[in-house]
Amino acid sequence: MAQLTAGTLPELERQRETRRQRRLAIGRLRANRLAVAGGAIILALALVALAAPLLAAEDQDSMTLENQFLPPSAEHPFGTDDFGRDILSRVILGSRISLQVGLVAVGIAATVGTVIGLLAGYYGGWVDTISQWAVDVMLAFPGLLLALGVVAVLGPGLLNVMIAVGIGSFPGYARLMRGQVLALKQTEYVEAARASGATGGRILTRHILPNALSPLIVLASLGVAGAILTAAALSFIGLGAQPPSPEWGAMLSSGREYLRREWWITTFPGAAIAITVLAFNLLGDGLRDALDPRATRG
Amino acid sequence: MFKYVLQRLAAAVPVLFGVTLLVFFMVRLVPGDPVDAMFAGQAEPSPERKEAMRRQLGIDGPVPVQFARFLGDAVRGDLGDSFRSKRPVVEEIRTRFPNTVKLTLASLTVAILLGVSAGIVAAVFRGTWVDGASMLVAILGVSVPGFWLGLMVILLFSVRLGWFPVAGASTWRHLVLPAVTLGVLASAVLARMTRATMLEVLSQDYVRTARAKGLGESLVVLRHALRNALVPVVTMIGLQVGGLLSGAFIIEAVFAYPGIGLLAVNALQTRDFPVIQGIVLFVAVIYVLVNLLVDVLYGFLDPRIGFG
Repeated sequence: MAQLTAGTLPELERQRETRRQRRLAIGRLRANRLAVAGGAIILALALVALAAPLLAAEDQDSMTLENQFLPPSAEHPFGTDDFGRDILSRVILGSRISLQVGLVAVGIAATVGTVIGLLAGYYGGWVDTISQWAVDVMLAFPGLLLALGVVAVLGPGLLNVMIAVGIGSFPGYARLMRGQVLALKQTEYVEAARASGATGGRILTRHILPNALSPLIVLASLGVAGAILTAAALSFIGLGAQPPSPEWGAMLSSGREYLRREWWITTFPGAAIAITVLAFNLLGDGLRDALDPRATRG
Repeated sequence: MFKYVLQRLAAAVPVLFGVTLLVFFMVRLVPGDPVDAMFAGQAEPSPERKEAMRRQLGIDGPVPVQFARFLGDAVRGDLGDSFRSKRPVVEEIRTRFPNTVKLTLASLTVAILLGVSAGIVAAVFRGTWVDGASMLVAILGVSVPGFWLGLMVILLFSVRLGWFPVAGASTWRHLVLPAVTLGVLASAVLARMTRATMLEVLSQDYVRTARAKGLGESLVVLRHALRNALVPVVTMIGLQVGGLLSGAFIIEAVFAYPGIGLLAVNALQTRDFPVIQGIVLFVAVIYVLVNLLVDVLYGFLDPRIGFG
């Protein structure tokens, strides 16, 4: 019985504190105009992506050569491309691909990284040594080099790009999670849970993970921005989505040869990437400032 | 001091070993057979030629033997021959790498000049519209795709204004647009970092003391604050070298600038595995060494880091 009280008191105290912190963080986030703007853009993009088949003026693959290379006009606000396809419609359809790529790649990275980080941090020993070595090795590949290597292995294609970007960015999550676990392992409520006989798996999923979520959310939000950017870059050099996919990077790439006169073919998909990535960066920055007030001290 | 450098070196060895191991397995993890994958959708080469290519790739024989051979060759500077050009990969890298170094250094200069000064100005004018505007530009800088910015820069400065050539690397004028594009993108990260550390330093006691002594604001900022704020910024600059090296892959492709990035992109498109493998290994090793250098430099700059 004594053990049970020891286990519940710090737990209740922690829950109350967590709720208070969360309320404060939401308040801070709301007060950040740039973060709110980022969130609003993401929401709008998600709605556009959901309703894309309805919004796109025509079937994306319908090609009418008499419409080739039309400059932006009331009928085709973003102009038409080399096949006479409406660029606005294709940009709208492309939003589905980019959001999906960002979410899937970050999903892979965050899941793999979190599991490795949790296990390494909690169990220590050789699990930690080996995984830390692996993470160090993977972090030795700068930027998109690792993703390039993975795509080289898997071959070109959108799915492979998602996997490549996911694998390329999981070390960051693993390192973050391990640090969180090491810090949380020493806290009173984890000690209490362990004393009351909770298993390692239960402590990790019930007590440590929920408390390590804040920095994970920040990293994931910024990670979506990075993933969309890397995936578009891979598509741009011909390793990702293949034509006639309305993926933004691929659209940009196919418009390259017409840059001299038909500038709109490259300009609008590029702007779409920039705005999407900007929105996730603004939200991520705002989340970091809201969840970790120390970062903005001064 | 010597001991500290040795320690850092010793720590880099397992990482370098792991990098080599990972690159080694890269080609061996290609689903099916890398030689078949290379010829996917093309005329099938003769079995003798395929066997020769396997031998060239070093993917014949037992895996541990393969790795020992790979490691031994790599240490001696032999990364195999390109499937396409038939030249040694090391040769290919040697002819292209100076161009990439030039591009990286030029864009690093742009990034430091632009990023560090924007960061200082933003910190000094904290909370004003100057701060807001520079930070908005900085976050734009990390959001804009490099290949798109490159194309827009070509559109404006080469196609419309005709100030700079569109592609190539024969004169210094060829370097300007890719270096500025890459540098502007990298400056965004530096600007944010410099601002954050400057803000921290500006709130320290010794800065308050300097102000209280009646020193001019510019003297306080430049002499007292900046010097201390630079330590983490130097680390960031070191990390940026890696970002610039990999950013150069895409930028070189946009500007048809003949560095190792363009070489890698072309190799990826034709699945020229020895070249891909060689460049990935080469760049990762360079990156590890740059980080090592930064670590040592950091020790020099910050006396708080003991060498003991």
